[in-house]
Order: sequence, then structure tokens, then C-alpha cells
Amino acid sequence: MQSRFRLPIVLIALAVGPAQAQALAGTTDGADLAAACTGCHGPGGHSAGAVPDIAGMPVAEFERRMAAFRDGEGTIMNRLAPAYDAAATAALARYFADRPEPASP
Amino acid sequence: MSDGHDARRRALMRALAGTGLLAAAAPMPILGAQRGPRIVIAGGGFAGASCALALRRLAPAARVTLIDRQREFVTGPFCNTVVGGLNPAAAITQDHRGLAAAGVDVVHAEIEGVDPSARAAHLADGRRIAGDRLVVAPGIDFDYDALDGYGPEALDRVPAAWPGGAAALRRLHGQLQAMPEDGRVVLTVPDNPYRCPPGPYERASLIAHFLAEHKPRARVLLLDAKNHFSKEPLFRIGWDSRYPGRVEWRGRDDGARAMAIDVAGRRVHTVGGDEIAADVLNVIPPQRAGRLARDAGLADDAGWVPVNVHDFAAPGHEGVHVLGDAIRAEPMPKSAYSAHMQAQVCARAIAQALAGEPPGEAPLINACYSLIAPDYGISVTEVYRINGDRIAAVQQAGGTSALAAGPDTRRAESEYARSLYRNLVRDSFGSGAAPG
Repeated sequence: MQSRFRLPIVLIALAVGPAQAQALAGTTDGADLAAACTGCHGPGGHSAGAVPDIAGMPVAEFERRMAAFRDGEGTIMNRLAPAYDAAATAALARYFADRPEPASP
Repeated sequence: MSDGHDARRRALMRALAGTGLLAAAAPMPILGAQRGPRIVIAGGGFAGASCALALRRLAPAARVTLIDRQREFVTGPFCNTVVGGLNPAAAITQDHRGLAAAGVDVVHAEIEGVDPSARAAHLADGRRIAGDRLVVAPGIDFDYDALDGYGPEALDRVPAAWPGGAAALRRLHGQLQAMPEDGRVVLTVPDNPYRCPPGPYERASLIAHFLAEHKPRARVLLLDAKNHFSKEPLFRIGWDSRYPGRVEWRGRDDGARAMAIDVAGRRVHTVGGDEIAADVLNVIPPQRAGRLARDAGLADDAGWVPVNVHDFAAPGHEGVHVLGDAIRAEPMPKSAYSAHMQAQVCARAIAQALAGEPPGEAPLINACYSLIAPDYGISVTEVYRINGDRIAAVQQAGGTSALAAGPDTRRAESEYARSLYRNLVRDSFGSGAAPG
């Protein structure tokens, strides 16, 4: 009897996957979420040097890269991306897509 | 008619509060003599500077005053490249001009103390600067009582350089240059918690790099109060591949914890009873929260400041926040990235409170690179969320660089380390110098 109720829960957990099981709930405010990113990527996502510049990156490109990081690509983003669910990723994508390109020097 | 005008003005003021339009409206007569709230920040390192810059962005109506005794700030990040002779101290020396350009009132003066009940800083020149909020970001002090024979008067001969300013870093590098060809560098490393957990091992690496080029028969010995350390497997792999036989580590179970320092003889007396002689001795002392926080009664018995992790407020002290290396924020390490991250959360919480908005909670990140050599970088990162009244690492995220990564990855991470430095400084100080 008990097992009949347990099985669907296990299936749901498998379907969601380990990366999503503890994904962050909470704010989907892009600016709030981005505060964790700009220490590496620079103010507004404008990076100086080797860390990718993500300011003005199109939403689809941002989401495609985050998906690749979740699949294990990258040197450090593969360790960060699994903490961000679809809603948080979409909010970050919109936030950085809206950052203006840096002024020409 | 006059009453109607006043009512409309009050409604407009309420609508404007916290939106950023108040600052734009400031010269207009509707504000009269009223001023925006004032936030006083004591300490201009990564935590204080980041908080000031973020507040200018998030609460533009507020007046932000940052006080620090030093015009120049030599960063902990990349300080080991100065010790190893890879960069001049100027490359890691930041200032507060970018903050001033962003509209922060910067005051360079010695702070006598802070008064949490009045949310005020008392300056040595007699001035008193009070605000609606007080943010204390005092960094760390050395706990000289914890190490027999070692004190501030010993720093010339036996540097701590953690990082301790440009002169201290140059002095330690000068001692490396002057040491015998077959000499021994000894570093003593404290127990947790302390500023920059992987820092001592990066330092040993970059000292080994210098020795390999300039003193090929010289060695480095780490005397550690711990049995394990940050990024340990990665450092060991790096030492074996780049500096075979040159870096030796002894831990607590080896009795290696430093008990007393013979400054004149440059010797370390360990808990295990060994007396270890050094040609260059670098003592990284045990630490505690900076004096400003301890004198104000903000620290616990162990010398660190407990905080409310939602807004980094000091419990029992309304309107007072404490940030950076001085606080208990475990499992976040005492790093520049953590300090910057905490400052973003604190600034956002203050801005939301001023605007009467409900607080929102976003994940926190720490990211930290270490250089084993100029072309060999390794990293550790974590994502944290607020779980009740605690900070908790997100289980399925975070971790260190792959142990089996090849030279291309190590080189890429060394480039990311340099880029992170530039970006973190720009996002904290508004502008800044950059190491090569």
C-alpha cells in the first residue's frame, strides 16, 4: 500500500533531476541575482580581461550557455550554474541583455 | 488651495522615496530643508567600498559617507604576487577616487571608535559623523596574545605581510632576495578562521616559484595549525608538478602549530617541541575582528562579530551592520569576494528598508582563485542561500577545479584570476589598478 504512494514521488524526483532538486527558490529580480555575478564579470557584466563580457548578451545566447554549463562545460561556471533554475536563469539573462554596451574608450 | 498643494507634495514625496528620483529632485523647492537619509561606513576595504558603491546605485537619495584612515588600500588578493616578485605593490594598490566620483563622501581620517547606539563614528581629529545607518567594515587585527614572543615590534624582522601594506610586502620580498642560496623560508599558518583560507598556500607556491628561478637550492616549509587546508589536493598536485621537493607542509598532527616565535633568532617553537630555524620567517598570526568592532562591543568572546545573515545587521544594535572579514558568516570564507557579496546584500537590504519595500533574497556566491605559478591557476567556488537564520552552501553546486585538469585549464584559470581581480576591484572601488 505504502509503496504505491512512494513510487510517483521517486519518479518526480528523477524527472526533476538532482540539479533541480535543491535549486534556489526566491527572488527573480535580475538586479538582485546579478549582484552575485558582477564580482567576477564586472560592473553590469562588463568584464575586463579573460572572464567573458556578458553585458548585452542576447537572452537566448545567455540561456544556451547556462544550459551548457549545467551539462558540465567550463572551468568554474559548471560549478555555479547548477544552483540556478530556469526562472533565475531567465531573470539573469534579461538583466544582462539589458545592460548597455560599454562606452568606447 | 495651499493645503491641497501640500497634500500633493507629500504624496509625491512618498511616491519618490527610494526610487532614485529624490536625488534628481533634490534641488527642487518641494524638498525644502529635508535631506535624504545618511549612511556612515567605517572602513574602506572591499566590504566598505562595495557597500558604498552599491548604495549609491540602489539608494541614490541617501547620503553615503565612507571613512578610512588610509588614502590607499593594498589588496589581499594578488598580494602574494608582490611577495613573489611578479608585480610591484602599485599594481594592487587601490584608492577611493572612484567612490568619490560616484558621489560617495570620502573622509580620510583616523577613526577613534564607533558608537553603535548613536550610529556614529568618532574621529581622532574630534569630528563625529552620525547617520541613520552605520556600516562597520573593520577587517581583521592580529591576535598577538595567541603567539608568544611575537608582536608589532617584530614585524620588520619577521613580517606578517597579511597583507599589511606595500612596505610589508616589499620587505618580505626583499628578505627572499637577500637569503642564502640554499636557505629555508618558513611560514607559520594559523588555525581557522582567518583572512583568506588558501592564501598561505598560494604564498608558499609563489615563493617557491621565485626560489626556483633565483635560489634553486632553497626550500619552503609550512608549519600549519590545521590538519587540512583549502584546495589542499590541488595545491599538492601543483607543488608536485611545478616545485618537486621544494615545498614541505607539516600539520597539527605533526605537532607543527607555532607556539612561540624567537624573533631575534628567526626560530619557531612548535607545539610538538621542535625548534625550527628559518632564513626568512613569515608569521601569519591568529586573527580576530578589527578593533573598531571589538571596542564597540560588537564581537563575541572569540573575537568575531555575529550578524543577522539577511541584512548583515548586528543583533541588538538597530541600524548597525557589520561586513567582511570581521564577521561570522560561515560557511562563507573570509575573502574579498565574500566581503563584496555581503556588501551587495547589505546595501540592497538598506535600500529596501529605506524605500519601505519587502526584502528579497537572492543566492550568494564566493569565488576564489589561487596562483600556483603565473600560468597555473586553481579555484574554489560556492553558492549559498539563506536557510532560516543561517547561510547554507547549495549542495549540488560549488567545489574546486578538476584535479585531473590539464595545462590549458590551469592557464585559463590563471587568466581568469587576473580578470577577476580587475572586475572585482572595478565593482568594489569603481576604478582601479591591475596586476599583470
